[in-house]
Amino acid sequence: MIRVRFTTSEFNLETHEWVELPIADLIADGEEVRISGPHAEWINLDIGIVDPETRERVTRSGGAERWARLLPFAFRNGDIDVEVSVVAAAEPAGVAFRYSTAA
Amino acid sequence: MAIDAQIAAVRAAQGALAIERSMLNAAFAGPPAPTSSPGVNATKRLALSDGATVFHKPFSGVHVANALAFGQTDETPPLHDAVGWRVAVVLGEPWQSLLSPCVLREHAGEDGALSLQASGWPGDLASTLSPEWCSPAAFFDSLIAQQDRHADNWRWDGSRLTLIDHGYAFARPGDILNHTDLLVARRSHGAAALLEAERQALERLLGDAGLMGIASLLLPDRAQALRERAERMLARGEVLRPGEF
Repeated sequence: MIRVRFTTSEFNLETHEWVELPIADLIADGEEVRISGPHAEWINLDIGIVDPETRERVTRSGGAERWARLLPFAFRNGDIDVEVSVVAAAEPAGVAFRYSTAA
Repeated sequence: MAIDAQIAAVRAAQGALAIERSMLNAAFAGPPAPTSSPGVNATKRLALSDGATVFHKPFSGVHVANALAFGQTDETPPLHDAVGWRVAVVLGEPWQSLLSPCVLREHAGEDGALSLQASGWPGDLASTLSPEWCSPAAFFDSLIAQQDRHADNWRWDGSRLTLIDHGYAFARPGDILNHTDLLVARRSHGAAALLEAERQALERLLGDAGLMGIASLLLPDRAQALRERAERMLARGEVLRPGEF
């Protein structure tokens, strides 16, 4: 199971510190994708991503976990931070949307 | 670097606009934002002393395998970010207002592309339904051979579209296409035909042997591909087909 955490940050001019702001949490579990968070709609689940190792275009329907691992390659300009991690077991996710690639 | 001449040409071209001077001269305020995903282009989020947020994509931080997969080199993505903006500047409006300004500038001893944060949010398809925004964006993406324009590579703030990330552009015939969603949208709406302002912009570009200075900013094969796309667009009177680089 793959967890992808999307965040952004704002600079506080008074404290000169960055404040992290959550966007969305995505879980790819087998062929199913769940996404939740305050701005989950910002994340386009229909995006194709070029796998840099194989040069193959990967979509969610081609394997949700593989696609989820590649998501950082879709966000290259720096304003959305994308953190990918492998999680061992189902976590309570506060699920807002479910998308199945099996259909 | 193999693109030293192009970098020097971009540096010589930038700085005429107030926004560019601000991005070139304002001090960096504080450290870059912490990142949990430094592996893709090592782009840093930074604040400028005037309050602007910018993104620095260093030449040394290009994810080489990803760049090569798109037919880019290990150096071209930051260059192409800056050249995308330069194309918008020479074309003028409405294209200049469509792009997030970008200059080449050092940060922490690393040369790279510095892009201004765009207003709005990603993932919104509203602009694909708006001829006012979709048409000029599709024309621009067709001309510069944008390879990866999906809804997370633009920002929409409810009334305005801004195109970001031109690292994977200026493709050559045969290079891969991942997304060109605005071009697809324009063509699917039956609006492939060039508008008069677009025809005039292409005529201005092709009327100058150096493509209004753009040819010197690109590697020769990519400049030639740009010239040939502009010629094809004019000859056919329409934006190109997706993936037609």
